[in-house]
Amino acid sequence: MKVYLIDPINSRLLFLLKKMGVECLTKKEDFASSPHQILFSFFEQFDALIVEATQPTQEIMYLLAQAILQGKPTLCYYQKNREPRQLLGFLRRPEAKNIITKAYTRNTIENIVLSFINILSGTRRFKEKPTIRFTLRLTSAIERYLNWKIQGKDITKADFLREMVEKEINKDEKYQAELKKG
Amino acid sequence: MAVKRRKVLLIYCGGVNLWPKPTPKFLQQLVRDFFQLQMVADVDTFFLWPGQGADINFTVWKKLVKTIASQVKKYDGFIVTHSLDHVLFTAAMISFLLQNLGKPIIFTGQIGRKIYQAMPLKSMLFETNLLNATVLATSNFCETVLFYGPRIIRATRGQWDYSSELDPFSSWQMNKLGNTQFSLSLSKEVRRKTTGKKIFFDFCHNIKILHPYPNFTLPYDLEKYEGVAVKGFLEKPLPENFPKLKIPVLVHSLTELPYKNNIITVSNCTWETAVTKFMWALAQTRDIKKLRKIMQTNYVGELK
Repeated sequence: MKVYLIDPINSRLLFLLKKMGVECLTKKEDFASSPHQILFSFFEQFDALIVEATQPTQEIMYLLAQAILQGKPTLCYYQKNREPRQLLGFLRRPEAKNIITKAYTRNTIENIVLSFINILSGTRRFKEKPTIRFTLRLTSAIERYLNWKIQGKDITKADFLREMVEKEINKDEKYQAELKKG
Repeated sequence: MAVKRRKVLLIYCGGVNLWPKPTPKFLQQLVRDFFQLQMVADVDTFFLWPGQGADINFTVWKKLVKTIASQVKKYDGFIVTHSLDHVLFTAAMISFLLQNLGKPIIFTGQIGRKIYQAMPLKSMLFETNLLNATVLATSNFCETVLFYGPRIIRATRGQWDYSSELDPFSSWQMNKLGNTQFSLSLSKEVRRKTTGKKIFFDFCHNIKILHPYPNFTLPYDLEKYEGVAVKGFLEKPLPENFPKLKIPVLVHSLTELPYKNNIITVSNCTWETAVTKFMWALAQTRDIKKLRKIMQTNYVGELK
């Protein structure tokens, strides 16, 4: 997954996102230049936009306006008690349903971004593809249970096991804290 | 510190086939609904003319100049929607009539169906173009430009680009002024500041335009005009049978040609710019020497 991150304030986010396996573009130089320059769309080069918008510049307003036009999933956060009211008035319109807005503090910013990435990962489009081969020997009792569990459902035993592990990952507070430590 | 809101005037002068039977109310409602425009600037509308570019006339040009000139203090930039037909003439004439205005004037519109179908990317839709034009109208530069695709081109340097499926115009003998590949970016050639604002309301429209071809028959009544503009010789200003006229004759060529009497040759600008500049110049003077000097003087970056 690729995100365009515009946040000069919370620099740790870049490291956090990279640790999650998210590729971050942060400046124009990061974007590819196509030999057919006029064919290549800037907005096609990333999956989501993440913007710090406490004091939105003209460029940020423009990017957010384009994100709404393009339907690009966007997280727009601002410092708590410093709402950019005019901007939020635009972003809370029904046409801007692809934009999530959140107030943040130094303690909550990482959870907000993590939650956004998880939301994106939860959709079929952004779900990570399993690529690592892992051999697991089962007892016959476990195998019977798995066969019974997936009956009538359109998933495989492997899918079921992966979903179980992902639930554990999200529940594991120590592990989540470890991720945040960087 | 809050960003200062810029004010932009969107002047409807045709050029948007997507908008069926536009009216002033329709235009106002459309801009109100297209709130993304309001995110980047305070956009007002002015419904100047509903026709097609092929039908544009000098009255529309005069109205356009008066509209912009009367609103120049109120707005930070101007967007003019215009059909592709004749926009090279309109935009060049506006450049000469509104010199050193100190504000950007952006000509934009919906590009033709054939070109539109070649663009699968959502980012190239007209709405995106209008949004980009609005941001461009709030940018810090002082030029009249064409903005129908990703390229931003000085109006007096615009030429048709039949090789491009995505942009109908390219820039003649200079780099483009900017593009929208990675958001809007302007080049070093863009004029950021101007001094000595000059606004003209008059131009001479009583000129005859000739596009000669082999065995071309010259009109017999050329003297009833106030000027003649001839397109496209390379080795000789005019054919042997061209009559000696008392009125100024502009010859546009791709090469430097000798001149004599009341013939003015130009090779350092586009045809559309040469014709509109000639029309503007004829309203300033009828003296051949002065006309020749005006045609060779660079006023709005039109000359190579």
